[in-house]
Amino acid sequence: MEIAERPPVSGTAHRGARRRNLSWWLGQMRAQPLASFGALLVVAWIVIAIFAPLIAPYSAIKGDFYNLQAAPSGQHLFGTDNHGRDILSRVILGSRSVMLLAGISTLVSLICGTIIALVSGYYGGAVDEVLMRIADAAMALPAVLLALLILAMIGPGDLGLFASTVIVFSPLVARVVRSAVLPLAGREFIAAAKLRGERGPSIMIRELLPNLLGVLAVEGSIRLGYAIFLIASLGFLGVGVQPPTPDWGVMVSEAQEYASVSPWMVIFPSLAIASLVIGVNLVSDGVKQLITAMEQRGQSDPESLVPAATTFPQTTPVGGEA
Amino acid sequence: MGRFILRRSLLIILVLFLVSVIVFLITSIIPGDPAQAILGQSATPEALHAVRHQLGLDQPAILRYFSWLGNLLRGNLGESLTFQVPIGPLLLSKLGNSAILAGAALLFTVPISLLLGVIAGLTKNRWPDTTISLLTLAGVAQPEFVTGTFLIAIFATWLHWLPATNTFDTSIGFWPMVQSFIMPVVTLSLVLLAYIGRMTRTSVIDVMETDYVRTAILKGMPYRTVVLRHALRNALLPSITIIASNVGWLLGGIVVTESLFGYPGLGRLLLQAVQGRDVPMLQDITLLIALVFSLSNLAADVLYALLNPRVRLA
Repeated sequence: MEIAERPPVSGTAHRGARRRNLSWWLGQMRAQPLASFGALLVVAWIVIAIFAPLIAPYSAIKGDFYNLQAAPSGQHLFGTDNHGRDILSRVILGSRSVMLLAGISTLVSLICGTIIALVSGYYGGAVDEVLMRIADAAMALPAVLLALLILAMIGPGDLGLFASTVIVFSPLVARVVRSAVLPLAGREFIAAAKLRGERGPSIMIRELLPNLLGVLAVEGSIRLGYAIFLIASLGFLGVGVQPPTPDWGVMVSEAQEYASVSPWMVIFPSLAIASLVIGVNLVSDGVKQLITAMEQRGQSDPESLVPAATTFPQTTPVGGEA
Repeated sequence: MGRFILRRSLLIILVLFLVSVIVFLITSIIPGDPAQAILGQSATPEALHAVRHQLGLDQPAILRYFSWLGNLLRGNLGESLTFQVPIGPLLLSKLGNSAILAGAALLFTVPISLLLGVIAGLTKNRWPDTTISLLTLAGVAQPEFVTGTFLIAIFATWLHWLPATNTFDTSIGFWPMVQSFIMPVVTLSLVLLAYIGRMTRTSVIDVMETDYVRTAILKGMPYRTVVLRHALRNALLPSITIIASNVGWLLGGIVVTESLFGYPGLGRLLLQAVQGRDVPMLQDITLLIALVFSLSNLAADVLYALLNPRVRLA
């Protein structure tokens, strides 16, 4: 087992890590053209979201009453909706709510989930048991359902979306990260830290956390995809971002009744969601492959981020009589 | 085996109990007064008080929780606030409709996703794998309302092949019914297809790289025999668990899909309960879905243990 022989990353070793230079990144991009394409899509949407008010040719809220449900043309590239609002502008400005909410709530879910996982995995025993049973209960409800319950409580809107995404995702993150903490918690360097008299929180942050960065990178990119998925779906169900704030999910659901006459009203916001989700999924797959590659080079690379046991599910044979 | 099932069942009861507490806590702090919702804005304070008393809202929360739980265990699901009818029969008929949709989606997804996953796993990094991975990663892992919207735009608006809605109207005849199910089922399936396919691919790749498979290939056993007799048995085992955990996604996706196609199932009922702040109905539907999800996980665990002798010892 090469896993056990490799020295784990401790806080000090990590701080001393050399920085990746530009040519390293270019090499990675050449090795993973799909992930690079995904990154391009995501970066494009981030730029669009930041500069949305400057890029959007029209207002997202005020309509042109002489141009109701106009087909795409030179004047309105994506056409207009039933209020005469320019769909291109609404798609551009609508990128802000979903990306901001998805980004922030993914980040907060990662932090909450990691804290739960560290406490649960490090202390073990009854603490672990209680935390994991609560996580089980939260996960016994499908994501959309739990989110709907929370939104019913807090009320639709940004705060409800944020809270429900965090509450839905934190237990999921906790589960994954905990399974990475468990094999680490029993290792010698943790025992050594205890002997040095380090306290629990300090061990968690300085000894365990640096070894979890790889898992967190993969988990974070996956969660971001699901966050966009969930927030757009809740918008579509009418309990997410509230009109008149432009939102892709809301645009698709509001346009349903006009879809057979003016299909551009549903097609363009759907394409926007699809391209963003594709971008994030490609990036997340690329991150996973990058981390796996680093793991395999692990022994020769002191900066490797993840202990190998955390992302390879060990499958032992059943019919191994061969 | 009996003890294994018993232990898992007890765990499910514990989890469901916790779910009921969570659901009750969340729903009892929902702002807004159900009595006001029933009677409207012009209600007199006396009438409001009477309705609150009738609903038991003037009782402490802990008493309300146990009376709710007691009623549930006796099969009394209470009365819907928005529809003013007993919840039990309403839930049962919608559950049936949703079960048809979800069951059809599973029947459609499982064989296709396993097949795609196995093909991709066996041809790792060659063109069949690249094609399948790209399709599942990019084209398919989309929110249900996005794929559904594209399907409707193509097959209903543009080609006029399939109806854009499915209201479960049995009077239209058998064949039109089947047609109206195609798009909702495909919409519901695509996300699962991507996910189960990808997980199957990973597990096939892992198994093909194990020593025992390598030994079998090196000792000259025909590739087909290695794959069919030795590798797939192990590679497809985790898929059972993956499929069961995806039932959760399916149940969530059902809310969106039913809403998109106007399908009268549990998902739409749930959405109506959320919008109407119909607390008793919200509580009952949530617990019902948690129960369905837990039972499907139990079934997967039992099936897994039956097929994998090593788990039984654990």
